[in-house]
Amino acid sequence: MLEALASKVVSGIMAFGMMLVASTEGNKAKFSDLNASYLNNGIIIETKLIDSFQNDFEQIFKSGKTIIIDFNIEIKQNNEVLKNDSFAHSVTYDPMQQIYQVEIEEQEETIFTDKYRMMLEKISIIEYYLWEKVTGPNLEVKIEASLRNLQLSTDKNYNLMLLWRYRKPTIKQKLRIGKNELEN
Amino acid sequence: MNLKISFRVSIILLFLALFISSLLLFNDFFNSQLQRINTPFKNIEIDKAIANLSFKTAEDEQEASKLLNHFRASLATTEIIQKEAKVYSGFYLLLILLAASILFILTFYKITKPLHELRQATSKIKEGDFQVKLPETGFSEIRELKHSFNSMSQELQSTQEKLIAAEKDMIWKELSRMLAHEIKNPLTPIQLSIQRLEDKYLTDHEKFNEIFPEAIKIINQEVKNLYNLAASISNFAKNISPEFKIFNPYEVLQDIISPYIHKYNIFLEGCRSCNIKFDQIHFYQIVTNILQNAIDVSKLEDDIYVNLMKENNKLNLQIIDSGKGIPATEIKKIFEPYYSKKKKGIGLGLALVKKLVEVNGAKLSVESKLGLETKFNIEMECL
Repeated sequence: MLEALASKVVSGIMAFGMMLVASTEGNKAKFSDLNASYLNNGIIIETKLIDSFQNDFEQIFKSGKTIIIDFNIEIKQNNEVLKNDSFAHSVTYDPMQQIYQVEIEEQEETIFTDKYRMMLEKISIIEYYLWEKVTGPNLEVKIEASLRNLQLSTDKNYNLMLLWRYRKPTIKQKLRIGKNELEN
Repeated sequence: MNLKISFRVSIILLFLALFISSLLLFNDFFNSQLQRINTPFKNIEIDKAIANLSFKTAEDEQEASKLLNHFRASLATTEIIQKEAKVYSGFYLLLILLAASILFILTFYKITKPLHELRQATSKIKEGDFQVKLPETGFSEIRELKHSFNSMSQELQSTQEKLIAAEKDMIWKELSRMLAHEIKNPLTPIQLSIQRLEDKYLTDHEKFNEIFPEAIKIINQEVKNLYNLAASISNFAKNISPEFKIFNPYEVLQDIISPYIHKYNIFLEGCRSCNIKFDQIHFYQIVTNILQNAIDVSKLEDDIYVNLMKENNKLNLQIIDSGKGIPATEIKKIFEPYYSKKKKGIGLGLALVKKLVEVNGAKLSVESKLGLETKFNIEMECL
């Protein structure tokens, strides 16, 4: 608890310092509005990371090391946690082939592309399937993303959150689902 | 809104502005130089170049791949280190800025606080409090300054005490001389009258009966003068608190001058409908004192003017005589107690006038043209 608070304080100070004097632009990563729709017997929750990789990321993605974005999703109904899950998106670049290998864990999908923009699009999109039975109309969904530390040529771990100004993009939204749709 | 920035605040703001600007400039220069470090490497399209190469063996290709991976990782490392350096430089600059600002403000206050204390102490001395003493703390220069100030205030206190003692001594001597003189004046005719009565009573009874009423009249008159003297000293000594009343000063002035106008040329002019808030008895005392002075210094045929001049919300009462005037060197002394140029009088009249004018919230001034006139002016609030 104290550790979390200290880390928040430090990241706040660092962000303030960056804003005040550093010329590092960084990225103001955030999520687009959540979208929920029914698919078969489950609900599919969709969102997208926006303004997250425009600046300072290209050389990092092209490092040949695996860049991992961790996600945590918490779904509540009537203040009770229905689901708490973690998954990751990862990118590994092959400099010889000039191909990006993108792993989307929640969909158990692997994509290969030589287009940088396409790779960014793929790692930004989240499509999470909730198979649990939903009993009421109100769902509260919270998603948080973070960049995992990266180990490059030296032994040192680099905190990639620096490129997101030490702020984890978070979205918390209430989704209202109609009765008719539930009955179906 | 009136925003008044003190000297101390403006110095602090100036320091912060200069300090922040120089830090930002330095940081900007540092970052722009940092940005240039790996730009040449980024521009090398090494992936394409190596991919287009044809390798003779799989081992060669593997080796090239290893080198390329290493190059890419190094490039990414420098990129991240650059970003970290920028962020940490910002963070450390912020810390330096905060620490330097706190240090500057503390030092600045440590220097300026004694100056502020000195200013306050000087004000106290100006108000007459010579007992003020500053704690001799702070930097050595400040300590010396405070020490000098303390010595000065001590010296001033000692000088003031000597002056007060000398002044008291002088006042007592002067007062004793004047009182002796004033008491002696009526005592002489009383003594003479008694001696004359005694002489005639023993030698010429008929003459005694003849001079008796006149001698008694003189004795009564002089005793009355002694009472008046005692009363004027007592009046001056006691605390005066005015009982304010709203009245028309023109009407009161008419009453005051009416006994005099049969004998002297006194002219009353000015605002007939103005009202003032003043203690009426004090007003009477003030006017009769000044008017009596004007009569004393004037000849019978001279004119004396009593004017009531209204100017905005002020009412000026002027009493102008055509006497010989007061020399500039003496004009400041006329309101001092026991200062008098008259043969009769102990010099309390105008001192009392000044006191009465002040307790009623009015202003008293005097102008004099030597050989021509003297004008007393009392400025009052007009209702």
